[in-house]
Amino acid sequence: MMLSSRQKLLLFSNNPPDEITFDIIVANGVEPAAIRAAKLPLSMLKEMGMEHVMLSRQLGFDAMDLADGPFAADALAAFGRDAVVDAFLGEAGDAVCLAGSAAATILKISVEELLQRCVAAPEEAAAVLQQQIPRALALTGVGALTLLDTGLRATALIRLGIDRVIVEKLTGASGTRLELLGF
Amino acid sequence: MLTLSESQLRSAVEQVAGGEAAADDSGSLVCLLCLEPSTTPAETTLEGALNCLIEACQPSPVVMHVELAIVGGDGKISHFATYLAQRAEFREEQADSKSFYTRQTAGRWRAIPIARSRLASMVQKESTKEVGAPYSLARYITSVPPFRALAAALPSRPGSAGHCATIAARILKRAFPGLLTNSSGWYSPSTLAIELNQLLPRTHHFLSETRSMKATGEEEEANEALQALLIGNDADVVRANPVAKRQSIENLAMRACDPDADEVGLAVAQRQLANSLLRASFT
Repeated sequence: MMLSSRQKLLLFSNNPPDEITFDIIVANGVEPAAIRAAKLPLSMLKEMGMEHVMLSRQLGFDAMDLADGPFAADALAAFGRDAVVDAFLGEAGDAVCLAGSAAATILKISVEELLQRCVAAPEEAAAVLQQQIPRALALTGVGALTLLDTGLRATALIRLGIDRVIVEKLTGASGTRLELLGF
Repeated sequence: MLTLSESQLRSAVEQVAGGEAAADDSGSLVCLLCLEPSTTPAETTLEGALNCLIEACQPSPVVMHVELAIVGGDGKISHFATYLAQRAEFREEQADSKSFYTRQTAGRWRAIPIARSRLASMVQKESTKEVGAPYSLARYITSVPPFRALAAALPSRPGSAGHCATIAARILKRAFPGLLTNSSGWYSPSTLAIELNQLLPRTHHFLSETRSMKATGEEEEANEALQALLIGNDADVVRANPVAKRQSIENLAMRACDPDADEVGLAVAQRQLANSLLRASFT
């Protein structure tokens, strides 16, 4: 992989090596910000020896990076959707970062998948729903059990503009589950 | 009075049937690719100012740019577009197209399917006539309400100046007379997208009527191609059979014009259709 002098200097401010591989980047603790400034997408890191997308997490890339459309599209092209989602969508904070982003479209990440990462995290779950447009249809495809598991309850849902009728229609929640949700 | 013998009648019917089969082979699907506004700041002040102007002068939902994706019967997809400061051209041969469509603007496209008999070949033919048409920012004026009355007075010959929506509308009007109600100069990217979205039920009807029963193996191959286009990596996309890719795009087009789908379902399907078209073309 041939890098320009500018790219090399952005990665290694002093004495950049002649040949740069993924292992050299890891060994030198190069920051993700420097890698992105050098315009090295994940597909190029793959060509340089990064065998799995999970290794990019070890470098310090996170869901905030993935929320960027071009970054997500490149990751999909290099590794496929499932590997990228497994690597970057781990916890509730990741779900908040990715909700409503270009990455959610590119990687086909559903609201159900995002809410599954928000177990017992009602504030994060609310933030995920808040970023869906239109809000009234945010729960399309979401299971009643997933919604219950997030800890979100009627008061917070109503504050988001999602009432009992919407919850019942979109999640198929039964009377008992609606009661558990506080409706 | 004209009379036909039985053999002449049969021959005429066979010719028509043969003609329709050939029409199906030439492709009937064209998509209007719509680029939604970027959420990141523009790179230059001029670009930022232009974007603000385009957003301010158009009805919601705002579309920044439109172009045509022509799905040929052989699975080849042609992209015809007119960009600021460039001439109208087919985009698949441009060196920077892959980076532009599948990286820089990824996730911001929606595809509105339009399907009519022989539409793809007609649009391809009309697009060829428009190659080299100069871009005109000034033509946006006639797409804004007080000046729309002047739109019909503007030249609409093939090759005359226009912006992305003017030229796309001109091609569609000539390829399928009666498809659009206004003169080509009347349209902005948003109004063209809005009008074509209103025609989705007709497209759905056409696709349902002309969809042939496929063998189980073919359907499986189309599903595999669809998975590759939507969630696979580039190697999966390249490996997929071109005919199966075309079939999977037609299946997605059916979902992208489903009259029973709600607003979210339609938006998701149209985004997936755009992603698939662009990956199929530029991977």
